[in-house]
Amino acid sequence: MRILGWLLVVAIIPLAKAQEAAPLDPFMTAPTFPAQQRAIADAKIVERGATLFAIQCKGCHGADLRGGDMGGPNLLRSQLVMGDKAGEAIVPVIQNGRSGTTGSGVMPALPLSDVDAHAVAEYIHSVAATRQRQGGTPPVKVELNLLVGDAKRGAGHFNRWCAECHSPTGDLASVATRYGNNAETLQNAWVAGRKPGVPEPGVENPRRQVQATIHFENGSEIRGVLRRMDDFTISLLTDGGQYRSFVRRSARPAITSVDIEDPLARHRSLWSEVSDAAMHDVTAYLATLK
Amino acid sequence: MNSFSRKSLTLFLLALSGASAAGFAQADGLPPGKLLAPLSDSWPGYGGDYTGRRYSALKQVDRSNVKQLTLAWTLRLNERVRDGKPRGFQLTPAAELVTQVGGEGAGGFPIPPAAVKGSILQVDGVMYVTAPDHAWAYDARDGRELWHFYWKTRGGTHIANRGAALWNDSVLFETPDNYLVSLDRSTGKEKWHVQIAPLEQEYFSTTAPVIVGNRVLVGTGNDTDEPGFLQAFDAETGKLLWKRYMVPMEKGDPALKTWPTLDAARHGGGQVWMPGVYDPETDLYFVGTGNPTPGYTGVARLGDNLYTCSVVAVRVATGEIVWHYQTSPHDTHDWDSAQTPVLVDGTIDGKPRKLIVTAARNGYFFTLDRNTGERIVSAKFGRTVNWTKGLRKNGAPDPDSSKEATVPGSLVSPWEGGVTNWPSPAFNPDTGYFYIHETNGFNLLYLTDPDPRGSMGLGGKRFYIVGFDGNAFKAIDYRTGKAAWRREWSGGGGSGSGVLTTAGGLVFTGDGSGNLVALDAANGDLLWHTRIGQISNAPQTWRLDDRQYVVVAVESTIYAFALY
Repeated sequence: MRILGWLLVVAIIPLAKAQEAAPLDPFMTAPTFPAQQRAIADAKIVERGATLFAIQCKGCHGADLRGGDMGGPNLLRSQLVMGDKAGEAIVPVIQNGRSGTTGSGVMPALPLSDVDAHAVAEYIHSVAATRQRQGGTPPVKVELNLLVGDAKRGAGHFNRWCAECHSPTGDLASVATRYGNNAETLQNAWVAGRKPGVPEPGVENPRRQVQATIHFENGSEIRGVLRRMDDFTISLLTDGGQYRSFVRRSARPAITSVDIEDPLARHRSLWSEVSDAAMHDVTAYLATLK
Repeated sequence: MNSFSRKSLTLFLLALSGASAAGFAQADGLPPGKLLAPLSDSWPGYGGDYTGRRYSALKQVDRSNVKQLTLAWTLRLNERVRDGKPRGFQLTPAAELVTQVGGEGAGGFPIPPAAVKGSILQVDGVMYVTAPDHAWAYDARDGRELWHFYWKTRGGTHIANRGAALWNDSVLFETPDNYLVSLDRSTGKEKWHVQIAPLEQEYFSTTAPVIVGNRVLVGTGNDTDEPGFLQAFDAETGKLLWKRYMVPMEKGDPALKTWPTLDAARHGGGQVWMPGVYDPETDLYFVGTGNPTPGYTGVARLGDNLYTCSVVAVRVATGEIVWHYQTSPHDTHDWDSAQTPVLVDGTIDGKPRKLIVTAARNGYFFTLDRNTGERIVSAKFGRTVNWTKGLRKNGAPDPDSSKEATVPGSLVSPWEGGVTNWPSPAFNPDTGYFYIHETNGFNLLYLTDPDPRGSMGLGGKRFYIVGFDGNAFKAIDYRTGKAAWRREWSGGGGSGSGVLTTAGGLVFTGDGSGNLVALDAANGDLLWHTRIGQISNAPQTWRLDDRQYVVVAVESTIYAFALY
């Protein structure tokens, strides 16, 4: 469940971080739920709990608490764990066992003292506190290979779709290096037609400038870089650097038509044409431009 | 003038004479039956009336004179408890401001600036407005603040509040930390509050309650793999009457065959985070349900995952599920089907039919029989939607698993926010058209946690918003699902605003470029606009003193327009 509104803000955060470490509003980082608000126990207790967990619990519940091969449930979303404040719910289950809803359906009683069982509970809470926002798991580090495409096929696609505007020896020379050989940001950038983090439209980047020509009923026209357009007003920067704006329906002389030349139009139409496999091929090809 | 207006006039005079907040409201409040009447003088519930049509019978403002619509008043939400003093531009003198404080938190929890992302209620000339942890009453004639209620929160996701519900002399609303709070309509003083979901299990509440008779129908939200449910509380006492889960919680549940295990079902989501609609003839309440969880990694919940992403018909007396229709089987993109559906009394193949229509975040529009759940129409309404293999026999879109999050990236449309989202559509019985924004976005969706156990919540993925290709506003014919007209916004669209339609032949909405616009309901012609900022709720309308007002919010500012 995600609701429109903060979405753009949230989506831009990782980019903002990459550009400059912009401070977030306190409400964006506030400890939203009790799992994040809870004090973490003394490091020695957590450490002891971790050791005991590895011995007694890991087989069923997994080293990362997200459920194990022997069928124990994910403890990080367990209602019992989430409701526990100081071991009062977790400790009796450790010591007495319970019938459950997964795997064999039975958790055996474990021979742990009160102190040790509480240490395990504190360890579980310490892991839960690292869960990411919107119900995510604690951070997961997996090496993933995004470069699954065929660079040779990708070169062919590039010649067909991209070569009219782009060149591997011109504007895209060493593009992979410029993107830090990061296949994900490289792919994001070429598909979208913009460097991640740069908002549209790109007045500052001549290659991405949208050109507008406004035609008037007296035969004159004004041409420039589009600044803003909706159904009611249009504004542009003329070639002489002058800012001009017009009310589209009541300008005098009257506007007869507006021509828009958007260098990104081909990118947008490509989104509905390109298959994921062909997209991966192009990415693999661009990744060779070091 | 009827007696209702005279009462309103009395209130107006009292307010003018500087009567204290405690003394202003001597009117009857909202008898529960009022929500059954066509919309005109008041806006008594989330969708106005129970139908969700957001259609007003008013026609003082019409196609011919809407060009003369002008500002009547404006107000800025006052959050003084947050930092101890009034902030910014204020029209109500500080000495008159009254704040009541409630809540079980310690105070000082950082919350976002207040914004209106839900309905503004208006009865007897008084408006009731909410934001997370806040409720206000305002004089609907000039925007003067009458009282303010502030809730000291324990936490929870403070993303939005969809508005209050009125019941006789009570104002009820939900808080992000999962309390249903009942306030005295005249003073803003708390009558009672009850917990509606445990914060520890990471529920949070944003929706507006809907009251049927003396039952308060309450939904909640959750992103942490906990089960969704709808509850009914007694409007007088706050006592729980029933609780209906939207995923199977016990063995033997017939919906369990759409889940691999009971554990997966019990963590399967299906939150009820938007208000539903009500048909008094059948005593059925219709709600849309949210996505299954984990949201993006469906590997450990293979199956259709009922009753997530569905329209569900619930008997108000008992909480029993009478029928369901799943608009997005086995969702893996966080495309909730929680949108408020709309009741239409229409004609299909020459026969009068009781219908319910909904446009889902996944880009598909549906017309169903609201007595049986029978599907009559399903049609794609997003131009660039690319995640299905077509329609199943029952008319539901069949997901293409290759468009789930993948390690090398999946280029998927719609974007994460969907073709539509929570902002309300509208239906006009005069034209027979259903009005809705069409957002055609693309995301690059990467799987970052390929663990066969699946991730949790909305984790395990990363997405990049690639861009938007031709966002539009359109009128859909409920009989065919086809667009009667479609207007592509030249400013890019992508509006977060809802829709209002009137007997004056008008449709009001935001254009995504900061304009409030009025369109001709018949053909989509743009008739009027004013650039006041991005509209953050659905425009609403009502009549006071024989004058029709159009009221809309831009985040923390509310504007009222009228003809003079």
